[in-house]
Amino acid sequence: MRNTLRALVAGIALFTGALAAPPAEAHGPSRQKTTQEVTLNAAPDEVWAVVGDFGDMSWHPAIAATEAPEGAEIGAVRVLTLQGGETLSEELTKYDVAKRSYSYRMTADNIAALPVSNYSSHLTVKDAGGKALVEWRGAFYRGFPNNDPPPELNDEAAIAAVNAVYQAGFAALVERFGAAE
Amino acid sequence: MKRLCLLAAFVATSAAAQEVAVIPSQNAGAVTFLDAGTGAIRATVPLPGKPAAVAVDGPRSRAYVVAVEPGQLHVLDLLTAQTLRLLDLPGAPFGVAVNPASGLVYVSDWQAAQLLEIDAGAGMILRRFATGPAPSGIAVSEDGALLVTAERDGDSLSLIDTASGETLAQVAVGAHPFGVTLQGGRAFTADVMGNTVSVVDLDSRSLIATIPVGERPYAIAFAAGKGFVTNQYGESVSVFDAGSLKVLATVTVGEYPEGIAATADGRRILVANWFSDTLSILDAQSLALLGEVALPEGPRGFGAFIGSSP
Repeated sequence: MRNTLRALVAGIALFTGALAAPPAEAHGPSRQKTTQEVTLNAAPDEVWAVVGDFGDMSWHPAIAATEAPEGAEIGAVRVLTLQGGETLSEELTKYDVAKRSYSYRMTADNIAALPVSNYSSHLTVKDAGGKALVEWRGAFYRGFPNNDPPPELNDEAAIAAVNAVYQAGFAALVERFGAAE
Repeated sequence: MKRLCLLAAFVATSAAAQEVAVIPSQNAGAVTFLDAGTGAIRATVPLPGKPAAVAVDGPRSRAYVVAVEPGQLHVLDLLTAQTLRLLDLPGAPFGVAVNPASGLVYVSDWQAAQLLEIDAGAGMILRRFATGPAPSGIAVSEDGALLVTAERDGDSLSLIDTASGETLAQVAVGAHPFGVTLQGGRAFTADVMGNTVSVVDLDSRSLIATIPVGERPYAIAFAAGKGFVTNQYGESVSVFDAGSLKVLATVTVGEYPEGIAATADGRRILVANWFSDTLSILDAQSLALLGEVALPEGPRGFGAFIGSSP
């Protein structure tokens, strides 16, 4: 499992080399979206206690450090340092404890860390028959703003990279809580 | 399934005036035709190439949809949902509107910063009007004399005389105007990065008011004396008084609401929710949510997507 995690983390860092996306004939980017989910062998509140802190992303294996001096107030910005040293800045836009959900968006693009632009996301822990169903959703454009993107910056690459981040997080949660039967 | 839907739509053509909503789903590559009053789906047809913008010409029974990736204009029959013609367009076409008087179609071209004037029946581009950078939404006055476009990267609105093709004025508005709608002698732009609606008086050709709305406003519709603005990040619709321009309410809709249009009787507001893959139907008077309709992935419906066929 540890090896799998490492591989996933490495996969995020090396996303550009790992993809064999077909050349796109895009003319003007369109917004992409993805929804990923996993059901864990734990109560929703138990999982929310781990993933629900905007100021602490340490549960995610791709994150080396979280800096969030403003805490978890709406408008607060956290700076995530990835394992490779790149950083991502994200602003908290919604926080709803009752729904076990928070929303955030990147304040600036960092194509080297994640080949997307205008990224926004929701992380929600739902109750699936007493088990925690973690839903992670993202909306974003590809990393290349103009026509004829290189393969590592096209729509497919953007979706694959975001999915890889989500799946790496899920893998860590599965390791921690176990997957639901 | 599709065949059945088309048949149903065809049979329905014998009835009286029908009000139809036409909503492109960008991620799915499909267009949904709905009964605007009830929300009942009449037909869903594939339309590849990342379609986002649409314009409906009710009196002429046409729907125009721009497929962004191949840069094509689809001319569809409003009642049968069939594609009648496919036109290849230059540049990076995005927004679309119909001239109610002439039936001519205008498409914005982001790449060359221009509007294309198209005779869809003849399949010809007639004229090209230069605009500011990244022209997005387009609107045309009821009498067909005035054409306006929101210039996203110019933070401006251009007013164009359709007869001469001359630019009458370029008015500075809020940050990144996207959708534009004409109402009561005014143009209203949704300023995506400004979180405002800019109000431009068409006589004086000047900015007369700025209305604070929700986060990332996208497009505007009018009904029952009120303006309705989709807020992409707000997951809401801001409602303001069309006369006083005062904000009256904020109504929660689906995630990432984008396209918005009103039924002709002014009773209903339809909202396409891009992330939720739904259409929200609001009561324009009470602001109550009347219903939600599931749509193919990524509905955008950018433009005047409702029209009544005689």
